[in-house]
Amino acid sequence: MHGISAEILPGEIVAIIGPNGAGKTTLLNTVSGLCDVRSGTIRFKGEDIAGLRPDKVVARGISHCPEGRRIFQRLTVEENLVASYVAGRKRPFAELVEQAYRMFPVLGERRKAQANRFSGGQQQMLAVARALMAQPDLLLLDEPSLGLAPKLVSQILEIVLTLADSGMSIVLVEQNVDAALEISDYAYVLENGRCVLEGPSDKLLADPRLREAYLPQV
Amino acid sequence: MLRFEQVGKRFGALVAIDDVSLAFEPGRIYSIIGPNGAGKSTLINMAAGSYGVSSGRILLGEVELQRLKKHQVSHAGLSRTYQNIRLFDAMTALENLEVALFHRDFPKLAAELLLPRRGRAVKAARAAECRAVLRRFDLEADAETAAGNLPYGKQKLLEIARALVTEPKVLMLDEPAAGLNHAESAELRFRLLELRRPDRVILIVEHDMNLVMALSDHIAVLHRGRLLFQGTPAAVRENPEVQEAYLGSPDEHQIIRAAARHRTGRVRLRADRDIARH
Repeated sequence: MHGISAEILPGEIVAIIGPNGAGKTTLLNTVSGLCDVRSGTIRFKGEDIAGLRPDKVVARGISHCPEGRRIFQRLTVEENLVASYVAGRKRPFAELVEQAYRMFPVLGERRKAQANRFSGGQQQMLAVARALMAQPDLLLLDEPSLGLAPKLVSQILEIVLTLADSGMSIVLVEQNVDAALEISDYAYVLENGRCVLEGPSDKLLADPRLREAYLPQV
Repeated sequence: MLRFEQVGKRFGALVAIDDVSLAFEPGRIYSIIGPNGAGKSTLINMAAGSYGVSSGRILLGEVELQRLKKHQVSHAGLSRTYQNIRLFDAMTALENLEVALFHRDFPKLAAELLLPRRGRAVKAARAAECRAVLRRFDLEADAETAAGNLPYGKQKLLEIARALVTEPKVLMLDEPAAGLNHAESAELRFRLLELRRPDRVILIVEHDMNLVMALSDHIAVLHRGRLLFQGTPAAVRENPEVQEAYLGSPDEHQIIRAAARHRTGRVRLRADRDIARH
């Protein structure tokens, strides 16, 4: 990444788009502490969090749902959720688990099943559910629609909208560019580690240059 | 050429595949679609020898694949890629392909190791063959790069290249477009079309409906381990049961778009700004 500046407001959905290798995942990794920052600052609620350990970042209220799911394969659904609960934050464990099973009924039906027995798409649902167990104020979603059936993609996006309406800020990295722009407020377009374009999502959606590069030709 | 005959698969109490019969003819491109957990990857895994079957037979010509181990299935002419990329990360792109030819070149191994000149010739021929496949995927410039250091999109292509180097009769691709953007997925579509041969079955498991609908001659829809429907892309798209179980109806998509446009209770933040180019 070369000198990227971006911001996200409370309750805002920000989309990060761009080709593979543009630095989208790296950007999320620097925020969540999975990746070192060479220069610059990352401020969250007024404090510099650049270089904080990942667990400290979670404790500040940032959850990261990483690319490739990264769930605990040997644990059950329920154990995955337990392991990701951060005690001492607002809501009790039972309530959060209920919410997770309401969002993704298949997780509730198979709560005692080991995660590695799940299909790829079901593991993706678990990864999203797990990220929410820490009750974040800022949720980083790295390609949540990857490997999901079209119907579930709509469901995930609907969930993202609901979470934002409740005041959560959401950074959405998506290859599904038209969907990402439709539900987000603002978007940054990365190419080769640089931010080449930014603006309100609906304006970008109508922008010919962006349409040409990223959206299917109709 | 490839047939599933009344195939079933149980994992303990869970019935993953329930009495599925499917036939695949050479020269055609097939897709298997269906909700997450419907059993699509399980079908591939059984054909490829990663899972045993609980009942039924899987035939490639006259060969019963379900009796074979993974490497034997590969020798029988069936190659696959994985949903999560499984390359040899520390090996170069070229080496990843060469490894796939180990079995074929095995009879020449003694000569390769013991006779320097003969060995060099065998190696050079194999490398040239693998480079030719890399070239088809525009990966020749990356031949000496460690696979793990390639960007994601190239790793996806390299996996297909590796599956192809053995000249398989059946090529099974598990979510080849996952994680690709529209432009990359469109490019993949043309590459896959080029792999079609009169003597080859291409079988794709995929959620990218643009790709599936444009590429497939025939689509099978799985739902809860059973065959829900099969037919042409147009027939699949119009089928109400498939819409209900998998595609979602056009109405549903409209509702979500409307929800996104008119979010109640709040306006889009920073909507007043203009697009900034940097």
